[in-house]
Amino acid sequence: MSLVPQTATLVEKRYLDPQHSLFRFVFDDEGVRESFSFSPGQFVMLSIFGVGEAPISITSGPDEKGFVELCVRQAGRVTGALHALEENATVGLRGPYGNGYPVDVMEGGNLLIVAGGLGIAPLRSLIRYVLYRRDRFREVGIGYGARNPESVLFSGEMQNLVARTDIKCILSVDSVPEACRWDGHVGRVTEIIDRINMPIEGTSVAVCGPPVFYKFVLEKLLSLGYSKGSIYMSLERRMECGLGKCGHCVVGHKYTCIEGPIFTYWDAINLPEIF
Amino acid sequence: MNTSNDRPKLGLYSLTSCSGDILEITNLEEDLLRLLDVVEVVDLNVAMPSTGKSPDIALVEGAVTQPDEARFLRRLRKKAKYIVSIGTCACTGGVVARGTKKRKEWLREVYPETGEGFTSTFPRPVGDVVPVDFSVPGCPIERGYLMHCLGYLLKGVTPEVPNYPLCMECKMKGNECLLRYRGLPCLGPVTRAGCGARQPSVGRPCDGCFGPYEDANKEALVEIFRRMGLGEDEIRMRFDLFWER
Amino acid sequence: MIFRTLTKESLPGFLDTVSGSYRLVVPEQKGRDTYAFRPYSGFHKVAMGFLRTVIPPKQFFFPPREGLFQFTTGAGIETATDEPPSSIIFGLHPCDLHGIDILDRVFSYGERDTFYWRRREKTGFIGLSCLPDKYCLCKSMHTDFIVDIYDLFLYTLDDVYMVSVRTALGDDLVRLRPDLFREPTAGEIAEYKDRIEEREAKFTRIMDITNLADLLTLEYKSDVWERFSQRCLFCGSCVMVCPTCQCFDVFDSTDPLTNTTVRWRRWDACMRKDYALVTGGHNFRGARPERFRFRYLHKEIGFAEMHGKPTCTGCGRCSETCPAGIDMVEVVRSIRE
Ligand SMILES: Cc1cc2nc3c(=O)[nH]c(=O)nc-3n(C[C@H](O)[C@H](O)[C@H](O)COP(=O)(O)OP(=O)(O)OC[C@H]3O[C@@H](n4cnc5c(N)ncnc54)[C@H](O)[C@@H]3O)c2cc1C
Ligand code: SF4
Ligand code: SF4
Ligand code: SF4
Ligand code: SF4
Ligand code: FES
Repeated sequence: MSLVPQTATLVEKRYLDPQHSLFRFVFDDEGVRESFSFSPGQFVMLSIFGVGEAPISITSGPDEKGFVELCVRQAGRVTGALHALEENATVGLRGPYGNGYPVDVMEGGNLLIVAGGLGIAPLRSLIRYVLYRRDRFREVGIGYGARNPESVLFSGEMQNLVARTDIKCILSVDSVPEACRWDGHVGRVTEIIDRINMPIEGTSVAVCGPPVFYKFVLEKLLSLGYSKGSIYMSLERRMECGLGKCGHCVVGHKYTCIEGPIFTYWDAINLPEIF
Repeated sequence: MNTSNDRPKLGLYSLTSCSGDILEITNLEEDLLRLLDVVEVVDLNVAMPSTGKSPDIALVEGAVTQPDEARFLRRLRKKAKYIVSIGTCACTGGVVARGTKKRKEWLREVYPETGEGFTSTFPRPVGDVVPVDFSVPGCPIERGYLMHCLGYLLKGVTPEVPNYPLCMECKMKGNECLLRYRGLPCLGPVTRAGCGARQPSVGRPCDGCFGPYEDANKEALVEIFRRMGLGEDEIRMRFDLFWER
Repeated sequence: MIFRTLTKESLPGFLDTVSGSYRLVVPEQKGRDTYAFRPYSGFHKVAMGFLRTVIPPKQFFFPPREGLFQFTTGAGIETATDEPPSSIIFGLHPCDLHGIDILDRVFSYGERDTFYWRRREKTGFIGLSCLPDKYCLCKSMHTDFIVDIYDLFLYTLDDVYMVSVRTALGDDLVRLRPDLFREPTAGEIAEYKDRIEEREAKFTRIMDITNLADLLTLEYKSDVWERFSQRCLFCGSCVMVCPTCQCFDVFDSTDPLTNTTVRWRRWDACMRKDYALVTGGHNFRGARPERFRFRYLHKEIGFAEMHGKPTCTGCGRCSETCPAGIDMVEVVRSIRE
């Protein structure tokens, strides 16, 4: 039934930083657990019963079966209540919703992934998708920017990516506090795009991060000559249903929850009231 | 059933007011009895001596008019997890805070002998004295609304309440608009919803006891009142009853 | 589609019979000057001459406030299991039938909305012809007649109703009282034609929507929006009464006594300030003129981009209801100027 979630159990809660944690859920219904499938960039509506619902990107990979992982920032009612939950608690999940990244278009070409802060959440799913079938992509580059070393989400996983030779992954932080060790880049995210140095032709770019991050990264990508049609961004809008019914996510004339949240930069700038 | 130790503790406090809001709660009758299964009432200052226990949720009605009351609130703030102002008096000052500027004069007129010596201060909403976690407005409060809020507060979550003007609630009931069809000075367009449009539903214009809706276009409504032929004084009095402080 | 006639004296008997087999809903006078769709309680209450109800028929499939499911620890999620009754709504004018057509599309686009369709599927419609007043804009919106959606449609003639029987359900209804229906006569057909012309002549106000979508886009930054948003109360009434406004909010309410949570959906309006507010405080339509404009853009362009027609059915409810006297015709004229 539309709008009615499936119950799921919180099986694991992993602390990432004071604001963010990774939550792993298992659907209570065995049939749902097995049939639930999604593509990277899609999201679920997460219910904390008695508190409400919030749209959250799926951060686990589509090939990881049996569970769903969400990386959530504590931002208000629902996300706050989620952080207060203990393992074994019951939540509701419905979805997956949204279009997700056009992986069929991306496959066969080069892929550049640029994430800022929590923007890594949907992109982590895409990265996992790529790692699972690395041979289907030509060059793969990943740039991830965070405020400081403490706020690099999934730092262990990200370090493993840096160590890989079949992927060019560079991490970047704005600044490094004194007592901190950091061997990644220090400075702007736009600088690591230069260092990753991906070809322009035949490259899809997936970008996700906070508004200021978009501003600088998009400027940079355009100046390098990437086509607006090859840059994919994820839009955040208020969402109450995820089904193209409640109206809240409409931007211009499009429902972000159905036609998005992934839009090419070209489609995005053709929507009025985009920023 | 919960044992008394792990039930959340509820305190009900009445400051300067008509006690109408606490009455709304005690009028819950059988629901009140069931509420007592869910919470432990540690204070009910209009009816029983304090148990001395600290409340998790303190519901405070009435405006602050006495130095004692302010002192009491400051102490309560240290003990209570949530302070919730209930009723318009506690939320914005309410009827008792009307015309505060002329208060001294009134006191002299009404109580010619003793008026000068009254210790009462200008009525203030609870939130002017101590930080308030949540407000449940209404004169009197709406029980369903309060229960909805308690449902959230008992989970430790800030309640999600309607954040739109009363007209939307009124229209959802299919009411004939008093402003549009009867030329009555209804405050619905600028007032927070939540009461279920109790006045307009029985043909009386809304007096605004839930307080201003956050995006109220007061100027536009005043303009409509003027065009309806209301004088400036009448218009001021409409807003002055509850709406504006 | 076949045509039958029904004499005016027979209508009460027909509705009585229909109400014996279906939950029948009819227009009744509610306020001094307003009407509401209500359960049938005898023909004497039916407001045959009504033009529009305050709340459009959407309320029957998409109620102002609807519990979607309840959650209790232990029992988990429970949804309503009751079967909605088979219903007939009597008295729908073409605009309202068009409105239902639009909502049907909205609530089927993407995933079907089960809550809407569980009631909608069990509802049939008896249309009724009408004569326009000064708020009616159906002529302008090309919704002044309708060829689908309804099951029966009654065109009012002098002594009889010319009845269009469009669906099998319509035929079922006719067969409840076959004695009341008969073949139209040549004279009745001629009268029907005259009535079409008489009705045409009664449309006194026309809203010119030629190239309106383009004009609204071109005048995106016009000061018209600012001007109207000073007068607009942002009271949301126009949205509540619109037969095609479908926006809603979703929220939970927990009964503290039973600890049972109900998930509700409730009508919402795009004029509302935090309608497009997201976490972090960014509001995509914070300013009033943007919100005022959005309603027009959504009615005239947004839906059309997906379904090929504007969502305004010209029913006139928004203009009649608006406490600030804001009239769609005036707004559109200002944009054209
Ligand atoms: C497609 C999509 C994917 C997303 N993916 C993720 C993800 O992977 N991880 C993640 O952490 N987040 C994600 N988000 C964001 C997430 O949905 C929001 O943080 C979440 O909805 C907040 O809900 P809440 O109930 O916790 O906060 P709320 O209590 O709703 O409010 C949070 C904040 O919103 C603002 N706000 C809301 N309502 C009001 C109001 N009435 N008045 C004033 N301010 C208000 C305030 O700034 C407030 O602090 C995603 C969003 C979208 C649209
Ligand atoms: S009667 Fe009052 S509350 Fe109701 S719609 Fe009219 S102005 Fe709004
Ligand atoms: S916009 Fe106004 S006239 Fe058009 S369908 Fe809605 S209420 Fe009727
Ligand atoms: S006009 Fe506004 S309230 Fe109505 S359907 Fe469109 S977005 Fe929703
Ligand atoms: S009914 Fe009129 S005043 Fe109210 S929101 Fe609509 S246009 Fe504005
Ligand atoms: S979230 Fe409801 S329409 Fe997109």
